[in-house]
Amino acid sequence: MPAFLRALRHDRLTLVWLLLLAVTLFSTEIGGGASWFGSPAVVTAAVLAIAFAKVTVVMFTFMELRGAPLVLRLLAAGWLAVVLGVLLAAYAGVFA
Amino acid sequence: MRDPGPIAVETRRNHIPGEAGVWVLIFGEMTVFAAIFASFLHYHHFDVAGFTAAQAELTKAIGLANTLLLLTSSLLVAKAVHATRLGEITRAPRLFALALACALGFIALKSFEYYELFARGVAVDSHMFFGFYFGLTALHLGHVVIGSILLALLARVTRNPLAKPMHYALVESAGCFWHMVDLLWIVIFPLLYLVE
Repeated sequence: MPAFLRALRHDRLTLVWLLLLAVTLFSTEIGGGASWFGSPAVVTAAVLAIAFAKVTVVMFTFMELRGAPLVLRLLAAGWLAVVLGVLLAAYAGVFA
Repeated sequence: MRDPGPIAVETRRNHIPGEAGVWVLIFGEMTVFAAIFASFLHYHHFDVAGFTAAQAELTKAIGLANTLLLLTSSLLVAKAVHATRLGEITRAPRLFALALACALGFIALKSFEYYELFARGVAVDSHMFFGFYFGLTALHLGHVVIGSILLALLARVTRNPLAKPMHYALVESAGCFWHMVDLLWIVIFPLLYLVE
């Protein structure tokens, strides 16, 4: 195994970063007009859900929320779920 | 084995990163942005064709490049905070300086994007989409500038060993503020460039 790959195995932060880059490229590919699958609604729901998954990962790893008190972790998770729900509802025209 | 310093490293249980007040600020700010995100999507629902045509004026590659810059800066800051705790007074400031370089790259690209849009005759009142585009990105850019100043300060203060436990909390707090700048852009990018 190449040295840099061996080093990566113990570098959780860099692994997470690589994952975030890959997911970003994927959502950029499927979103914004030139989409090659699904309806606009499916693409939009997918790119927003991916964005919130990324936010969750950044909070729990880079911001070290995973070592935080349960209250703060629950608050963050709850906030993220509610806001994603509100955004999807707004997109669907629920607040007309 | 390196000395972990006065504060145990990273995965202390039940430790609030930075301090509680910072998280009040973070969730407060993010809630304000979330309200703008929701109203953007609300109006998008009633003028999909207009929003899509306006969105086509944006260059997706610039938004993508800026996303990659901020994700990278966030990794550098996470590593820098870790290095600060380990008392690595050479590596920590270097990592903070690299994160600052990413931040300046973001500001440069954003300025270029504004310039390019204005040059093509796009204005804030061209379409409601651009009202949201300029409003959201300018508000975010303000946070990038404040965060850049914090990163420059961190790159300075971490050149010396930190004297008090409170100083570590300040470094963590400033780090968390920078991560929030990244978080906001993680949602702004798909919202403006990718939503259909």
